[in-house]
Amino acid sequence: MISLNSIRCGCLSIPHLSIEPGLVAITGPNGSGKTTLLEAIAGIQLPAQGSILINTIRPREATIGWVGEFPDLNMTFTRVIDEIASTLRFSHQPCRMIDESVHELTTTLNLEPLLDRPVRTLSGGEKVLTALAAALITKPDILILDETDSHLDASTLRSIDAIIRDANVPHVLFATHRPDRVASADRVIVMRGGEILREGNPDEVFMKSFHGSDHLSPLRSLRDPALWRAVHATDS
Amino acid sequence: MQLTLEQIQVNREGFSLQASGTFRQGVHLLTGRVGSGKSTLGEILGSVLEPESGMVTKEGIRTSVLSMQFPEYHITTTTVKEEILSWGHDPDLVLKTAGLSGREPDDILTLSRGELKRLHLACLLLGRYDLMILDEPFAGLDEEARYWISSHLSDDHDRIIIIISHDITTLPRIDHLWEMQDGVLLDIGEIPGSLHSWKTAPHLIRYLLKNDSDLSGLSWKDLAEAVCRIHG
Repeated sequence: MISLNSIRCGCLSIPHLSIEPGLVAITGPNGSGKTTLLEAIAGIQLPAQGSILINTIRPREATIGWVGEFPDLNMTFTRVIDEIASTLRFSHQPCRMIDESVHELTTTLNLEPLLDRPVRTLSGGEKVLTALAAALITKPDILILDETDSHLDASTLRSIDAIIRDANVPHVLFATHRPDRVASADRVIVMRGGEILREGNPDEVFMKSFHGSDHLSPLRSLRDPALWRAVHATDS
Repeated sequence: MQLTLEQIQVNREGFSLQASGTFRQGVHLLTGRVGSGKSTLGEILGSVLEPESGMVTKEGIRTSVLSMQFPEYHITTTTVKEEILSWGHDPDLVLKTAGLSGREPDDILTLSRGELKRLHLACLLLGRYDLMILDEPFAGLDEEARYWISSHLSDDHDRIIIIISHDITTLPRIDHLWEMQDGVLLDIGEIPGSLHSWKTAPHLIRYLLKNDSDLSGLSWKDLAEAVCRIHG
């Protein structure tokens, strides 16, 4: 479990938040603190006040996988294979173990044909898969995807979703604005102004989000998790 | 007013793009899978990239603008106010439009990517361009901002607007649909006439077409109405 207590970090003000293992969507308006929350949980930002624990350890003691909105902006190496192996190489793992891990993971993700390609020649979806492999190779405690879905088509996203579901990472946190992605999560956290506005499963959050006035209420039908379940059920 | 592509070809590092077609006044949606060549075509349409062969002909188009996926690429100054002035706009009007009132003196790089995108799009939408190419205009934006852009574009059919997007749930009224498939531009046709012949339609559209024969367009209003007819 991820536990946040009395957190003040940049725009964030969170008295208490517990995140159970599973697939968790974090949504909310631009500037509401989604990325700051993810960075605090990842240990990229240290809170000015309060504590964050991942089970019993602090974020910087945990293994975190991070995939951003434009993954190639954070890539260090030119070739796909070097990027995927980089974290294990930086931590001085034995070469044989690194080779075996890269081979095993890239076979699972069908990335082997890309291993010798320069990253800049990859398509957007292939870049995300490469970043995902680089994140998963460390067997992270938490996998974070910060609006990685912004530029991906539905088919590519479904492939990536299947990989993430099969990866058995205890905690997967993803920031998103897309209603179909929110509907696919186990839990949803809605943020506003640096605070947690709502939290629950997709149906609970959907029902609560329309209490009171909402000038976007005509769109209610397109946000309904039941719609997206029906769409995916029809298509699979 | 029209923009015509005649046998356009681009080849680079194992990727080839081929495109022919005429974009007339109205709102066009250019869609397709990641890596299919949409952004490259957007750069050709916006005269940023010169094709290796073929011809791009503009008739009646005096001003054009290309909005790139990365809002950071458009930054030319250091503060929010200076950035707005660089577009020749009134800062108060742009900030009100973008929902960023009071941020004039801020360092432009302190805006979140979503805020920066809103600022950039507000500057762009308040300008007068005969041809607007918007590459993933909805990416990184919250729901309210996406519908705000969509409502602006829905009322604007007297110029050529080409939207490159995967986001099918927040579109304005679309007049014409195009798709990139493995580097080849396909003219799917006018909307709604060609909706039923769109073989590679996204999952949501396929679901709606299957369950509601009255789907009349791709705007969010059309989709919301179709969902209501199906689910009650």
